[in-house]
Amino acid sequence: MSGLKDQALMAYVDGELDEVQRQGLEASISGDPRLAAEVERQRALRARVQDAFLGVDVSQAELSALDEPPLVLGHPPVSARLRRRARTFRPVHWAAMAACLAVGAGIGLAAAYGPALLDPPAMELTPDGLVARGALAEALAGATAEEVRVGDVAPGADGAACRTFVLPDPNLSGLACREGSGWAVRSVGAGGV
Amino acid sequence: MGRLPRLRAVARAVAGDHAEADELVRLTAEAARARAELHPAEPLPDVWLVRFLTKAWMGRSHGHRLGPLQAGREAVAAGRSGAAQVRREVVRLPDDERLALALVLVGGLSYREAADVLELPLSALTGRLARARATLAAALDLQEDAA
Repeated sequence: MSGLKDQALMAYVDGELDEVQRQGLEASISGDPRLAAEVERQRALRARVQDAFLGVDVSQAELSALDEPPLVLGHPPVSARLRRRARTFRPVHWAAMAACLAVGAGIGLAAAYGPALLDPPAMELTPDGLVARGALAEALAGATAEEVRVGDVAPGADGAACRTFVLPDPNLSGLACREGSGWAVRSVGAGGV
Repeated sequence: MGRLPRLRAVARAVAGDHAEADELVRLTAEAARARAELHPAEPLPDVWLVRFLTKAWMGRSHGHRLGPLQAGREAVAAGRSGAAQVRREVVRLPDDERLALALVLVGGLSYREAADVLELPLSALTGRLARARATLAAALDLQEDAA
C-alpha cells in the first residue's frame, strides 16, 4: 500500500479528509466494491491496532500477569467479570482476591502485592476501581503520616485534585485523585520516586 | 478513555516494552506536574503529553528494548490472543514507522500534529503510516488477495 489511492483511503479511514474530499471518495467507494472492500480492510486494521493497545481484554491481563506489575489500575476498563468478583470481596480477602485475579484476570499488581497490603490495607479494589484506604487515605486527605509520603496537590486530567504518593512497605508509588468522598488510585507501581 | 490510560497505551506502542513504557509515563507525568506548577492557568493539551513522551523515548538509549525473555513471553501470549499478536507485530516495525502508527492510531493525534512531533514533512509521515499498515496487514493476514 503506497499509491496515492491507498494513501487517500488511509486518510479517509483516519478521518483526515476534508468534507469535499470525503464526499468525493465516498462517491467513488459506493460505485466500486473493490474500493469498499479495501476501506473495510483498512478500518479493521485500524480497529485491531487500537484495540491491541487501548482495549483491556483478558489476553492483555494474561500478558500483564507474565510481566512486571502493570502501573495503571484505576481508569482502564475493568472487565465486567472482574467487577462482579470485586464486589464480593473485602479488604481482608486481599490474598484470596490476588489469587483469583492472577487466574481470572491477572492484574499483576494484586498478584504481586496483594498479601503484602493485607495489614493494614492501603488500597481496596472496589467496583469503581482501586481506592485508597487506611493510612494512605488519611495521608492523601492531609494527615501527617510517617509511613506515607505524599506530593503537592495538582489538578489531574479531568480537573480532580491529584497527588502522588510513596508507600515504604511494600515499596509502591503512584497517583491518587479525589473522587467523591475518597481517593481513587489512578496509577500505582513498584518502587519509590 | 482517561488521559493516563491513553498515554500509557501510547508509551507501550512507542517503546514496545512494559518497563520502558512505564518509565516514559513516569517521566511524562513528572514533566506535566512541573509544567502545571510553573503555569497553573495553562491547559495541558494531550498532544503536549504525547510530544514529551515521544521526545523522551527518542532521547533515551534503546539498547535494552525487548530482551529475549520478554520477546519469548510475548510470543507465548501471542499464540492465545489476537491483541497480543497485533502488539507483537507493531513492536517489530521499524522505529520510524511504529512511532507514526503509535502517535496517530493510539495517541489520536492528527497527521499534522504527529508530523510536527516527529519533525517530519506531512508526506513523510503519511508514507511511514502507510508502510506500517501494509506490513501489519501482511503479517496479520488482512492482505488483499493477490490481484
